[in-house]
Amino acid sequence: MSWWFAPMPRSRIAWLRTFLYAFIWLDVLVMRPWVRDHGDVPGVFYKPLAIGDLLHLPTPTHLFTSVVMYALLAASAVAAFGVLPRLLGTVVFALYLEWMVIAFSYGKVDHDRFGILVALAVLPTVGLVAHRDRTPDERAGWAVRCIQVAVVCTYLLAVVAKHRYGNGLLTWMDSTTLVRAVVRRGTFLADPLLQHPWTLHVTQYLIVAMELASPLLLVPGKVGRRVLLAFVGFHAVTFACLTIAFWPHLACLVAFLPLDQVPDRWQRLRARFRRTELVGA
Amino acid sequence: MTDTSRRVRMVAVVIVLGLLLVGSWRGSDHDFPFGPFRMYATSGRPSGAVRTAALVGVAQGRTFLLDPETIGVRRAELEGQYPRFRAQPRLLGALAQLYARNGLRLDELRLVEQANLIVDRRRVERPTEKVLAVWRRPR
Repeated sequence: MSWWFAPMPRSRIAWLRTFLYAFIWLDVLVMRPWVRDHGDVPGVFYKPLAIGDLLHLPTPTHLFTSVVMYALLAASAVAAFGVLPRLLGTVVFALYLEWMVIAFSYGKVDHDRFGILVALAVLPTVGLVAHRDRTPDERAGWAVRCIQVAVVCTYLLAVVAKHRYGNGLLTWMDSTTLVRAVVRRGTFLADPLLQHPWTLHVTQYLIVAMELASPLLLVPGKVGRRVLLAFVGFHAVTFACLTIAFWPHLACLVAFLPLDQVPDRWQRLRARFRRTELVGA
Repeated sequence: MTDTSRRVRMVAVVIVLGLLLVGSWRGSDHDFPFGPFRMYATSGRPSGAVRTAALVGVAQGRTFLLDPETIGVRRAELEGQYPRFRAQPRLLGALAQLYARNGLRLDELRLVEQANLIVDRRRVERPTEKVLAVWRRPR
């Protein structure tokens, strides 16, 4: 239990809020602009998720989708500055969840949202914090842990899904899932790999190994940092080869960084630049 | 932090993790956000076809491929609703109306399935096409 509540600097939450609430703008306007268009798709294509039925959420219309979008953008813009964190944070969480329901009620669900939904749910629980307040706080520690565990669960439970939907994990590892992915949407970097299919076959073993190793992300110090780098590298290669990026999930990887050190590192970087300029002059 | 707030937080953790585990073992996409993380989780055989959906439009005698995302529909969403399109091809008429709203008046809209053949893990041949559903503008 103490692991969940190990105190962390409050400023880490303040930076996480700024980053993740700002990310919502990117997500809504740049990465997933098609969600808004679902308001124009005829209601006959709407296939409500269980949560949509449970909460009696309405079939999206142009007006409804626009209202949710503008409210979400406005609330997250203000929340990014740490204003009214409990109230606005809760509003952002509810609106983002509804935005996801609008996104995924048309026959295709994306699987990269769990981390950010957990993040948006726990960030309001910490209350008012400042970007320069580095006081260790158990509430901040719990919130960061929750996001980290959600990220690790996404990787670990992806192995369970491969076992379940791939006719057993061993069958999945020996299957042609990546070959088919490259055939469907491979870039010029990935296409040559189809001439050497063993590379994609081996990669499937590596993916499972990596996903099983994901709890190492929670190990403090060098081990955790190196594993984090490996995961970021994996996602970069995936994007280069298949133009697939799990952006909201990637945004949550920031929860593994010591964000409270941002001001110090920024100062050091500026000092170094100034020295270089003086030497140059 | 009081003992009560710690306890409340841990109860929330247990409930969410519990739902997530159950969703992963037993649930489906329908149970979002507690469904299984099934991105690329299916197994493909070493030989077989890789099938993808595509929309083909006909206007003024010309036939061309359409990008479904311009009307707010993702390719995977077309694939997720195959049975409905097959059973009710007139649903394509609703999509044709969306293209019309974007300034493209279609005479015909086809939902086709392109198949790339894989033999022993290697791609062979050019894709073949199968028409799954057709909508024609009423005369």
